Amino acid sequence: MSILEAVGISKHFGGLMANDNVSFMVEEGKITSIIGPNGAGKTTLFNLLTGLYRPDKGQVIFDGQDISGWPIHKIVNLGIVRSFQVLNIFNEISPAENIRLAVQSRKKRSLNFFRPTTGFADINQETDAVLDEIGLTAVKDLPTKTLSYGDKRVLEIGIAMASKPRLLLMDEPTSGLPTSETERIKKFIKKISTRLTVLVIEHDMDIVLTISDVIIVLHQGRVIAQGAPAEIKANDEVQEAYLGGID
Amino acid sequence: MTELLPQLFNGLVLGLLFGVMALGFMLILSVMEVINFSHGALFALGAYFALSLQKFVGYWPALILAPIFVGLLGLAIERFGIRRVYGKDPLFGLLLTLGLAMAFEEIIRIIWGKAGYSLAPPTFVSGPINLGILWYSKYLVFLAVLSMVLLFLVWLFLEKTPYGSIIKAGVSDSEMVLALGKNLGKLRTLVFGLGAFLAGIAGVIAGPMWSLKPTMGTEVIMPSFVVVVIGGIGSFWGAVIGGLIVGLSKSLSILIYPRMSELSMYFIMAIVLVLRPRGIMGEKSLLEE
Amino acid sequence: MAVLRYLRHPLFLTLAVFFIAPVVVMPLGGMSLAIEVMIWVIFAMGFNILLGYTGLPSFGHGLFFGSGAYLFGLIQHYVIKGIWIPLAGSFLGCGVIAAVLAVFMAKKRGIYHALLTIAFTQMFFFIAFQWDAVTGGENGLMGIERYPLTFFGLFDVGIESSLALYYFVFAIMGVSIVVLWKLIHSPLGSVFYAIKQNELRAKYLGYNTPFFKWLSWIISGVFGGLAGALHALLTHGAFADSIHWTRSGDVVMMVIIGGGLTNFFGPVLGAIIFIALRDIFSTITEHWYLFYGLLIVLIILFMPEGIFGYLKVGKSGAQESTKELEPVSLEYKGAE
Repeated sequence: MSILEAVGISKHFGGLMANDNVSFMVEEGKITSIIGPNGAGKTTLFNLLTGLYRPDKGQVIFDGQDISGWPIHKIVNLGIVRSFQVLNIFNEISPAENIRLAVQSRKKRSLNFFRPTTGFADINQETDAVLDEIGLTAVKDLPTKTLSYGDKRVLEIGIAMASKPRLLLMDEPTSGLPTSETERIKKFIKKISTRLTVLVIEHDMDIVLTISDVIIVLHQGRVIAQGAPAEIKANDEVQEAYLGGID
Repeated sequence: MTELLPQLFNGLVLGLLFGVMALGFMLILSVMEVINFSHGALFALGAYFALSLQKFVGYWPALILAPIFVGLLGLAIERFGIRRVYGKDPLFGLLLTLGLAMAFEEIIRIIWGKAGYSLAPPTFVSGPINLGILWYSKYLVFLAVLSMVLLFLVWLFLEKTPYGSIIKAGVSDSEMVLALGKNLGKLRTLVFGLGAFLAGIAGVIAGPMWSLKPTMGTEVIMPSFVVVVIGGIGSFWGAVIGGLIVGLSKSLSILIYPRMSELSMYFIMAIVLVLRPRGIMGEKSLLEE
Repeated sequence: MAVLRYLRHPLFLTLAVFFIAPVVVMPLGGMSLAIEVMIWVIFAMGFNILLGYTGLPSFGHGLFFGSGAYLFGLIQHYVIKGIWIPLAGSFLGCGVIAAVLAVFMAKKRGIYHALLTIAFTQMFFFIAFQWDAVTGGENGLMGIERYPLTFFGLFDVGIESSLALYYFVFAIMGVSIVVLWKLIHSPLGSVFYAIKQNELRAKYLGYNTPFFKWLSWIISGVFGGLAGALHALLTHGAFADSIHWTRSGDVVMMVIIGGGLTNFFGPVLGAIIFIALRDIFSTITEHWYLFYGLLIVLIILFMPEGIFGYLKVGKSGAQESTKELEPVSLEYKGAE
């Protein structure tokens, strides 16, 4: 059952063809990885899938519904959430507040203007639960700016998780992390994949090969291969695109 | 209908002048993302400097020197003021230049007094001239020609010189310019100086047409804003076309409903905002969603 | 004791100070000035929802102030000779104006947003200035009276005297501050602040940010209108120059001087200082305009975080845990 389908998506910026006729399917419940050299158009693809850009051509189909060109917040409310490669958190508020904002949005309590933000038991409970799941309970009320990079990375993903997505798009979740920390992320992805679908852009081949059910390879804006890890490993074109090959 | 033709010409002349003003303002806005509230005051300073310089050096040198002084002032403003608020909330740049505008206006009042002055046009361009279809003021023709020359020179600078291309690049994407390794700081200083120069020279050439008073700056700042909104940020032709539209709307609406002539440009602006939010020739879509 | 903690709460302190101020101010003959300060507090605090909390630079809020004043006067002239209804009319009327204008603004950001607010405010200024028949043009709308306050026809309270007017304005200011305080600490307030910090991420959290920006506009607009209406009551008139963009600059300066970009009570301090300085400057020199301009320049260059920011008074906003004080800069977080 495909939860997300990209049909012939193309996007250009000036003369540059960032995504060229990209088509693929993401199956519900599976972990799909998108790999490709820098500049292959992976983040652009995420931007197109989540509504930040409008595709020049093609459609984005979620659960059978055409969501091409929808505004970001509407797509999020359908259940597609995204975390960013470059940290994109709320720096002036605490980690707990970061999470709480995501929960509050989902619970549609945002128009309340007279009760204190902490006065909603269900929101508080969920916030604590998310913080617990991502392991940030100990630092939840500290200034976000003082968190370690690793914790901030986790918060980045945690905010996305708090929106209870059906489909989670993660853009290089291990970006900038030392190998000691990447294990944490890898385990996390495996854990959450049991209850939601994950589409992840990753550079770390160890993670990609061990956790993915399907790998999509992007090169110069085009899909050059998609399939199970074993197939991709054996694919010559993919080997060529990645100098040195995937071992 | 005998009034239509002169008013049409008035509108074109005014429009060209507004184009020059707005061009400087727009360059500063596009490259530096600063709303230069002191643009009007720089315009006034140009006129007043020329007034004083004229007594010593005559019209033509004053025409060149006064704007140069204003341009230098602009460089100083950027170097010591605007640079310090760059990257912060745009409100700070706005307030800074507003404060300067107020200070300049009062300084003009202190040095030159409250009373209005007239800047006499040089004798060779005073008096009427027969343009065939109507008799018109020689000076206004001179103003129009001078404005067109200025616009052409700026256009030449932007299109044909290396500095110009960097500025053009800066207009569309200042981050990209940084990436190219060019000195963004120097670029910004240059652009502000250029913008100030344009404001100053507009003040000098507008002087004989407008009477000089300390508040003359505030009369041109709003048209500059409106021109940029109508014409679009980041476009040379947008400033020119926008300027012409504003100039014409002002002068032609005098024929219809004189008291609302100030408002006409706002109405056009509102219409443009509804139909084409980024302006007629605007390109910069980073400022909206 | 819990009561003591209440007493030290800045909300209480602020209200207490204003409550007992007449004791000091009245003998000095400064009642008008004090009332004006409170009016500006209402204006600046409402405005700060838009500027400090949602991060939308508006340079045209004078238009709500002026419109509030005009609406108040017009309703008094043509509808009913009273206080409550004209006040409500100004409040709601400005809400409508804000709702309409904000449609143009809600999708803009940064300088373009600021530019538009200036242009719109000038438009209103010219309409007010030229539309003699309605607004009294250059002379303004005169004859605004301090009718007694009626309470359900049961009893009347006269507000003719300065003292009475003072406490009437004080009551409205008090309610306004409490309402705004609750707002800032509420879910809606938290969304505003999220938009200021990172609008893109706020969208990715599922928030329809243009809608919330639109709401922020309306809220700041109605308080501006309320302040304008009270000002009309104070001066017995409504004038066009309160709409001029330079007046809008005043309220921005108030917010910044006090440190309103990072502190809820910044605008209060800013209003007091601003009015005091304005009074002092204009009595000392006829060239006070120069000093005012220079003051603005100096504050922007050397103390942009305002007094509360400079003194590192903690942010008493929605975020108690943060001590961060730098005005959050608007970064154009567009495409990555």
